[in-house]
Amino acid sequence: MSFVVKYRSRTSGGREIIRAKTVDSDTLKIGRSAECDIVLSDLGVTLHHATIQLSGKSQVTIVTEENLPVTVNGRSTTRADISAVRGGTVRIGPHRLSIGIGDGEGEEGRIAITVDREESADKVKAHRMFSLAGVVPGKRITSWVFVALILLSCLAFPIYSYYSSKGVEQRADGFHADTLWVSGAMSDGHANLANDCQSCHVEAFVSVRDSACVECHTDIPDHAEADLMATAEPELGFGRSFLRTVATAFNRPERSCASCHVEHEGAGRMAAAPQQFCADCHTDLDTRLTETSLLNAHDFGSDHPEFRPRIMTRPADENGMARYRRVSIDDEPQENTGLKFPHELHLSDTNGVARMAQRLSDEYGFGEALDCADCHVATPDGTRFEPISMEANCQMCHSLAFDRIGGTVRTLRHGEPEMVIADIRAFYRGTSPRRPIDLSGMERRRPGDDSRARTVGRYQFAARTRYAQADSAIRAVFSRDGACFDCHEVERPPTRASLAFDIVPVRQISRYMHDGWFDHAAHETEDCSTCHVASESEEASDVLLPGIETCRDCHAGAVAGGNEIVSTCAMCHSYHADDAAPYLVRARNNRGQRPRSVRDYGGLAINPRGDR
Amino acid sequence: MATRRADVGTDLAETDEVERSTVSTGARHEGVWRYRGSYWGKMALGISVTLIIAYVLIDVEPRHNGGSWLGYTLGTAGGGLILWLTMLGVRKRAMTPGRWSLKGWTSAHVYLGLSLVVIGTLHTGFQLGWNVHTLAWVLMMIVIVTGIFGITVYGILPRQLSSNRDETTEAQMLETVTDIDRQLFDTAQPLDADGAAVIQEAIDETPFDGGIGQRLSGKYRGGGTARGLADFRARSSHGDRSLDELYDRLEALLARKQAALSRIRRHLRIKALLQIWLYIHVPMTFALLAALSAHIVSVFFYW
Repeated sequence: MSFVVKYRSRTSGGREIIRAKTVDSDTLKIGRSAECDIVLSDLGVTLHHATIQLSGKSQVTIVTEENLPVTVNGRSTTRADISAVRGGTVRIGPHRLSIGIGDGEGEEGRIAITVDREESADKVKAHRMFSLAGVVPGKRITSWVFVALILLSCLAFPIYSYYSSKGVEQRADGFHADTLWVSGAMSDGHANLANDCQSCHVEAFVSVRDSACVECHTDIPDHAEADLMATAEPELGFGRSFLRTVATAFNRPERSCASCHVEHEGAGRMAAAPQQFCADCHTDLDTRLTETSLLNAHDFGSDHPEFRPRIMTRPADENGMARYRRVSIDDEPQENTGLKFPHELHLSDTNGVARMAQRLSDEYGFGEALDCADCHVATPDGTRFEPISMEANCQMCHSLAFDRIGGTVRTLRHGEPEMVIADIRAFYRGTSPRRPIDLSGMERRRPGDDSRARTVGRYQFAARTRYAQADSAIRAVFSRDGACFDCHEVERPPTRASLAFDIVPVRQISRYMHDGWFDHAAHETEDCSTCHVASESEEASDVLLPGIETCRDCHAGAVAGGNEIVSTCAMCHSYHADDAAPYLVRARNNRGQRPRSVRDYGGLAINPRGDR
Repeated sequence: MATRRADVGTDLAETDEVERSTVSTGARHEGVWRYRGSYWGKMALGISVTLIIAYVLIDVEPRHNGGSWLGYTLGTAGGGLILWLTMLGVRKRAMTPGRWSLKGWTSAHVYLGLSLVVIGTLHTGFQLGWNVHTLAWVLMMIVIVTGIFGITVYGILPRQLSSNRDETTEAQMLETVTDIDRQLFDTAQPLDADGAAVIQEAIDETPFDGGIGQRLSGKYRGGGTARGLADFRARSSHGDRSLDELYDRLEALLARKQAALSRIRRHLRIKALLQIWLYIHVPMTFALLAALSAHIVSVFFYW
């Protein structure tokens, strides 16, 4: 005999699913254990809860385990007989076992036991209990709370801050809610404004205007006339003209301070404007700004004109004014400072100059030969060099001594030609010729008076005409091989008889590059001769400045490779045209930054701001 | 579900190879990850890679920030994307098939939502601070991370959920507990006051006791049932035969209740893990919309 066991369950949609199996046995074990014939997976059922036995042709007996009564046809019992023909229901926990005669295909005559679960509990309610909704705050309320909190604290409160401090000269210390809007730390220079948004953001929904900047920065010269700058600007490409259209549409001014000086980009110094900003206009500048005297440039490494130092063409014109001209290094400029000075002669280590240096080395600290630094002394900031002076740099060798009285050496007065003339005259007037040896008292002389009388006569003549000798002495001093002539341009007197000699004034140039900036201190790692070929210069008129190619040995443009140094425009040029060092140099000085590698622009230990 | 699959399996065993492959291809579930061959995944990957390359190649002076043209572009795209992603909440209430099906929309939501990590972060230019702008970024990241958590647990936990429930419904689980409670109540009648109090405590314990912490951890310490169980285990072998029998029955019932409770609590834990992300995802989305509004207004207010 065999049973048919059908498990009936329902899908969530209500459809009935029946799984049937046939058990060929006279007894059926019921329980939670997998070994049972009817498995009721419910913790309310024990592993082996009850047994159904066949006790007749169509009758079964259900026997439960001890102490585990089941409900048979509504009656709780531990043992019951059930007729399959009449049908019966056994309830075990939530399960209902309906016993009857099989009616399906292949079930005829067998006893069928249909197992299904009763689900009396409210499904919807159970579902809600099982969800998280009971233990956490609802999504809707949390959303509203967060929205309200954020809008109040991050929008309404800052806006209130703005309107409450409007028109206030300086904000009080303490918290101002609009600082919640700060998009990044202020640069060091503006750090004091960090709590006072309105010092720059004056009007709501209006971008920062130049007027806010110049309120403090009163003495910043502009780069050039506004109309010239507008003309110089190149035709923008599609992308940038689109961006400009957008900027204009949003009422954002062009060419404003903030176009280059971007704030809120972190503490530290404000970043310098990118080279592209300069190159935009200065690339092919002459095609747009046809009147300009400026040459085109867009990158130091690849497109920059040869240097055009401002050299002196005459130290003094008719009015005594120096004449200057800008000449390209390519054109081998000749300058005229009024001085004669062969560098080659002075720097040689084999000639008389070197010998003299050796002789004077104890007194003046010279080496085996003269060195640049023996005469050229750096300015205190190290940027440039002090002018050469006769007293400090020449006189140790080029003596102007002409007389000695007691132990004191008398010298001609440097820089005052008329004094020189007067001193020479005075010398000849106040002194007598050296007394011949045979006129002294203890003379040893040839016998007779004849010789003595002749000597007296000659001496008297010499003494009588001595004053007139001053003329030739003066001439000699101002002429070839004379003390003045050696180093100076001499202005000859208008007539031959006149002695009104004069010296062309000497002027020295302290700064050749007026549109650029060169700092010697930054280059102290180099020898002078790396850039200045002084040891081969025979004339003072040689301009010993290096050309751009020399600089390019180390300085690349905006993009550097190997050991080259990144050198953007701002390294040497200042946008705001004042005479001070360019921005990059100043910024580095102010921070006292020491370079870590050659890429950090070489040894910069330069002057504080304001040094020219 | 398991039932149906078993049925399909039995049917397939009797059909030939060709049909089987047809059926299995048709029956294979295509989730949001694999929808249309991960079309939106490739799209999101393409967008992210393109943007990262653009970010690296485009030279913004002095450094990348939200105010450069690239920054504004990324910000506008990101803001628009956030609004569109939020619309899933509206869209999901209308199920439609086809190219613009809800499944397609959800697939795009997941993948484009992930690409927002790239868009939003590049928009910041990696400049973060204690301000409303970073607040918006942080909220955005919280929303995305909870979303990632959600879709991960959706892939893993349902299997555990169904193996734990062992083909019983939630209502049935509850019924089991009610049933045991009823039996406990009936069986405990002969007990003295002390014993009755212990059983009452056990009966009073429901699977839903405890807060969100216990829901998520599944760790419940010292409930009434556990205490009762320990108590009656100690009382066993008392010597008095009828009492011992009673104690044994109560102990068995308490053990069953304990077992039923822990199954329900495992169920609760898995469900909590499946649901919790949305309780953060949704409110944080609205918080993000508020922070985003504040971010945009503030940027143009102090321009």
